[in-house]
Amino acid sequence: MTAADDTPIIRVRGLITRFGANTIHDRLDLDIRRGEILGIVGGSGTGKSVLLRTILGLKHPEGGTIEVLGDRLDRLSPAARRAIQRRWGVLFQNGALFSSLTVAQNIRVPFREHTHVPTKLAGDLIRLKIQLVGLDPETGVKLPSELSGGMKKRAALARAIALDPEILFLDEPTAGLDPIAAGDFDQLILDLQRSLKLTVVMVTHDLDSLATITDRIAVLLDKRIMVGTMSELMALPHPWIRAYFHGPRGRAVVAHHR
Amino acid sequence: MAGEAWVRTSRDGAGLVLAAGGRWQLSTSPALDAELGRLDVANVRQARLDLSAIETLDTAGAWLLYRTQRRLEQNGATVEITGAAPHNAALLQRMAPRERRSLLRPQVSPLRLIVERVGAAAVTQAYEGRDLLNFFGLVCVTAARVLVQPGRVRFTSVAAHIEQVGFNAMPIVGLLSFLIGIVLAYQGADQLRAFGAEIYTINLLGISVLREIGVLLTAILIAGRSGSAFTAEIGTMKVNEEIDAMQTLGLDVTEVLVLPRLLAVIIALPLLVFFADMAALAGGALMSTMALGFALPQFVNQLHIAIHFSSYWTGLVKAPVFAMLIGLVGCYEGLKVEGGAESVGRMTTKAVVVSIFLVIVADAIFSILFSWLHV
Repeated sequence: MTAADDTPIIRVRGLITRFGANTIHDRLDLDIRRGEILGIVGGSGTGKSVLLRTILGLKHPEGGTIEVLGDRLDRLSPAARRAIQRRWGVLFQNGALFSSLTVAQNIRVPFREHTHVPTKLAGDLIRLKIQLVGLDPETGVKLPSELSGGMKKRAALARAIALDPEILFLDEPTAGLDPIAAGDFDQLILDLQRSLKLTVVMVTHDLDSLATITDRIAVLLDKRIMVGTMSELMALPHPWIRAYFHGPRGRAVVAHHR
Repeated sequence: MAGEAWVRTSRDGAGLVLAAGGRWQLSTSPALDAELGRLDVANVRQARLDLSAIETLDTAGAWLLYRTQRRLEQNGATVEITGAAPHNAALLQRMAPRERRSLLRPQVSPLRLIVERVGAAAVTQAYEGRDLLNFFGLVCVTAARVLVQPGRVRFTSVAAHIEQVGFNAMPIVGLLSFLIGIVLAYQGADQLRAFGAEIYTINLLGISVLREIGVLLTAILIAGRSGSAFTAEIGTMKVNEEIDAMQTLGLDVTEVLVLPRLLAVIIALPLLVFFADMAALAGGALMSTMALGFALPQFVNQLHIAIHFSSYWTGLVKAPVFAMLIGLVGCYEGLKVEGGAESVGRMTTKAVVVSIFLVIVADAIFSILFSWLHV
């Protein structure tokens, strides 16, 4: 929390990513502000997940710089990198819970890896996280294979917020959930974001989520990105944006949230 | 880091003021945890938690505050929280469990636990045996149905599996059998030399390879190599819901997945056993002529005297039975995969252990049978 609040928590400059000859992002710029919920949208194959993976350092960019919490990840020593990794949490699309560990053991992994919290206190905090994401305490002793899709996402979210991160990355958090569960999950993210003062970056296709919880939306278009609030974006003439927000689904959502 | 958070207490008779300040977060929580643990709450009637100096509060810090509050309350004190910033107060609100449920398990004596586990394992084994037998029956029925309509046999699949199970295994089976032939000849000669009966090394080699070692070694290799592959393939399909998709499309899983594999291993294993026998004899011949001083015609002649046709077929006749066991167990464990990748791994291990176990048990039964029949 040393940086002033108006400096972006994540700053992407001139990002170029390619797969072979196929350029996904071409000199893409993106600023993510501290404390906001940013939704990333785009058509299939426009590289939403790739952008997320690149920011996380899972994919090496072909060009450009990425600063997270004021540091360039590619220039950090392994120890400093670990310190940054401690300050973010990631929810992967299918949860990516470790299948051989119970839910509680999954949440314990970051504690064991990054902190020196006494075992008993860690146990209390793990139970607390399970409660915070709205799961029953008994869920802790279950294996991921025994959970439903929605419960898996909640358990994975508990692991992502285990160390009280400053930034939470979500890859399609509501995909595969029924509308009620998706709404609950959106509300949960919003609650956690408010009480834990998180910055949330989410890739999503869920127009309801976008309208309900995001502060700004980043649209991947023509290998670049366009950021704005939903109403700002809807005023733009770009055909894809028009098709996306003014299509039947988009109209319904917008009408509902007005 | 721990210096960034502090807690000060002052007591005034039955009243306690606890002032907290600084960064109450995960990194400072171990020190705060210890400090709050030392807090003496005896005889406190009234307590005030002053949070006005708190700079940052995360769930770990909030939990510690909540825990302290609850501890005071359980001691009969009334607790008042002052000076909390609105978002911190909101976070503290979330600490309270929505419902209390006891997670305590009833105490059970360790002896009873041991007995329970042994019993449960035995019952599970019995059920497994029954289910495997059940599966065998299902496969037999399916095979009979397919036999009536030979057009239903998936020949392409069978051929592909024969290539996988048989042809591709030839190098490793050949090499290992060859080496075992060398070892047998050497060890046999070493012992028999003491009696001047070195020539019987060839009898030892011929009979042990043809009757037992060729087929047993090959079966164990194939169990490890192909039985495990069957489990992993079918298990992964199960995880991907491909098996469910097949069933909804009206495909018979036993017919499509199990029979071709079973047929392939039943065809391939006897062929491999023959190949292994030859390789082992070649290894023995090499050792006998190069290192033990027999001439090759002498070796062939002695081998001809030592072995009968029965030595050969008593070995080979076991091959289809072993193949059946390996294929059955491999497919059965694959179909039993449930859940995720971890289950595939566990079942694959199990398939190898169970199929090798069954192969050796079957081998023992064959030995008893052959001794009855005097062959």
